[in-house]
Amino acid sequence: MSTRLEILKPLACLVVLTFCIARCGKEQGEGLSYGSKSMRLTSDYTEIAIDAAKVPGYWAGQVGDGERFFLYSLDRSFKKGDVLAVDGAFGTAAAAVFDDATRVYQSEQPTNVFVVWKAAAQRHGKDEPTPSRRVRGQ
Amino acid sequence: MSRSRRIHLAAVLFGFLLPLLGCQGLPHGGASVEGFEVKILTDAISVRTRLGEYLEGYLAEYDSRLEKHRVFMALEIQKYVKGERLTVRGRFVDDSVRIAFGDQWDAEVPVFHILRAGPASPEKKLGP
Repeated sequence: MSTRLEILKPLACLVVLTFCIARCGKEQGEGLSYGSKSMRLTSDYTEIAIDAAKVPGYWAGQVGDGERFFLYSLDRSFKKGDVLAVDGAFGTAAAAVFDDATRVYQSEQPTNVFVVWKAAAQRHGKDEPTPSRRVRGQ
Repeated sequence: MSRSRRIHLAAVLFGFLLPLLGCQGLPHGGASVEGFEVKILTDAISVRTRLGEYLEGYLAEYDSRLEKHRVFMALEIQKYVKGERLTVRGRFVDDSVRIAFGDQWDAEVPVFHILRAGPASPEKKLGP
C-alpha cells in the first residue's frame, strides 16, 4: 500500500505540473517541449508554488545563454553551483516565487519550469563526474 | 516494460492530452491593487475562509487613517516570520476569515491576496 502511494504521489505531482505548464504555455502561444539541457544550479533546494501547489526543486541557469529555469525535482542531493545534464519537459507557468536572497515574494510570475525526469551531475563539487541517476520517485 | 517506465509513459501521455482541454487562465479579482506596510502578527497558519476556500498565510496589521487594521495575508509560499515588517502589494477579495488573536476571540478579518511582498525599508523599521 505504502509502495503504491510512493509511486502515485510523484506521478500526481508530475501530471498536475505538466498540465499547468502546458496550459499556461498555450496561453502565451508557446507549447510544452521535451529534451535535454545543461543547467547550472543557482540555488540550493527550494520551492515555488503553482496553482497553490508547492513545487520543490532548484533554480538554475542554462549553460550557454543563462536562461533561468526552475527545475522540478524530488532529489534534494544537489547543491548550488552543481552543473547538471537534465532530461525532461519544460514550458512556462505562472508561479508564486520567493527569492531567498532578497526575501521578496511575488505571485503570478511567468516562470520557465523544467520537469526533471533524469538528472546527471556533470561536475559535482570539485569537478568530479558522478554517474547519472533517475530522480527519486519519478 | 517495467512499472516505472509505464508510469513515465502515462505521465507523458497526460502531458500531451491535457493541453487539448484548453486553458482556463488564472483567476483575477476585479478589486484594484493596493499597497501598504504591514507587521506580521502570527506564524504561518492555514485557514478556511467564510466562502470555504482553504488558504495559507499570516494575520497582519497595518496603519491607515490613524487606525490599526488587521488582514489575513494570503501567500502561496510562507517564509516570513512573526514580527517581520513588510511592504506589500495585493488585492482585497470579497471574503473573510474568523481568527482568534490576543484578547479578541473570532475576529472577522478581510482576506488580502498578496501579489508582491518584501522587507520594509530600514527607516520605517526604526519608526514607532
